[in-house]
Amino acid sequence: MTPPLHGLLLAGGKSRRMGSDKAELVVEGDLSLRDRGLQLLDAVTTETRLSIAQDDQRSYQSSTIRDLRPDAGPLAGLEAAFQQAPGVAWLVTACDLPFLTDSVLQFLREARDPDRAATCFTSRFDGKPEPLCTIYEPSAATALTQALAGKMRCARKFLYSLHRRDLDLPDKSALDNCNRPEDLEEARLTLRNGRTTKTIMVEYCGILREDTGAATEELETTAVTAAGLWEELRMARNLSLELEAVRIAINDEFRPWSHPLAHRDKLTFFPPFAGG
Amino acid sequence: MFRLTTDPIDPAALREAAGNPHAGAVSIFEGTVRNHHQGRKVLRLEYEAHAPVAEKEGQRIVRNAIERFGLDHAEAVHRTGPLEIGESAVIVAVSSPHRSESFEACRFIIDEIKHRLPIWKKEFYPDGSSDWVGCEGCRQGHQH
Repeated sequence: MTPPLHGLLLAGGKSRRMGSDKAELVVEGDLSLRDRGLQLLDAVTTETRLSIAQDDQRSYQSSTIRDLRPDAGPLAGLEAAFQQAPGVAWLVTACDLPFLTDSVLQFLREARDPDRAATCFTSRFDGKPEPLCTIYEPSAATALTQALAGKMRCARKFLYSLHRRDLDLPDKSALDNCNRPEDLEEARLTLRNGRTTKTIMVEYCGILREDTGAATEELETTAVTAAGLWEELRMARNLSLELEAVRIAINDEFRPWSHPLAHRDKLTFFPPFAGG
Repeated sequence: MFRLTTDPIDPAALREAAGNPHAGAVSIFEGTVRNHHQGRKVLRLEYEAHAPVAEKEGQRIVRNAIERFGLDHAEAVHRTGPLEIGESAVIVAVSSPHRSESFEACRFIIDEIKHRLPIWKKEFYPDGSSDWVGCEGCRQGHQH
């Protein structure tokens, strides 16, 4: 018999890079990312729970599942969920997915293979399985206990270790997430204005030029801001720096990451300066 | 004014240009290539600059210093390309009516050059390896 499917929205993260609780943010309309995420899960599962950190003192309207250990990331949320409802499969989603839609979740539910430990999508950036919009079957619970006991904290690595069904995303941007204020701006502008394809001349300097093996490239992108394009390129080009360490110029003028890109703009990525 | 050059910088020419009947002080700062960095022996360097942005921003720095410190003259030149130990990577030359402004302006210009200009330094070590200075600590910590 196929185990029942419940929904688990992960909202126990620290939102360190965002600087404020991501679950509280409103990207579009009037629902917070938390309420939107719960609503999406409600539509495709029989019961939905909010996964919260062990030390979260706030009160919530929805039913919560509290982490059993501190600072262990998304895997701790799944651990607590398996413990509370053994024999249940969990559709786990992160709360910072403003492009996730009910049709994507329905696609996942319909493609679910209960004989494997997980059914998931692959990343549009690097083709690897994405752990935070995934159905975890009860058969993953033992592996999870072992992984956590072995100090594993990376949800991606855990997912790699499972027998899975990997799916291509029906909507390729559905899992684009928001970790920083710059990503949020990208998401807001995209949801407001839609995605249009533009041609951008990208220029890499210093260590980034060595990472990519080319000083410039012309590419087509649907990214709205420089931060959105960086996120697309970071994994595809194996760039060795984080956004925080990089500055940009658009058409040879310094600009903030949230600056919108226009068709035929030149975007230059600068590694940390070391002149003098 | 500010400029980039791949040729050795001539301090005498910069000193000559800074001299001015109105000035009571000339200050010159030379940043030179040293043979060590954070305990490692360095054989040589390469500087890379994004010329369009570095030149524009460099001009802003120099203009800003002239206004801020009331200078008679200010000029800064930064090398790019391969440099040997002991060579000048950057020279700043300013003149002003009194010494205090000239010292301060010199320091201001070199500090701003370091912080604001898209220029990168690659060091080459005796074991054949090399590294981009300033990028060691900011590599992505979490690779999959």
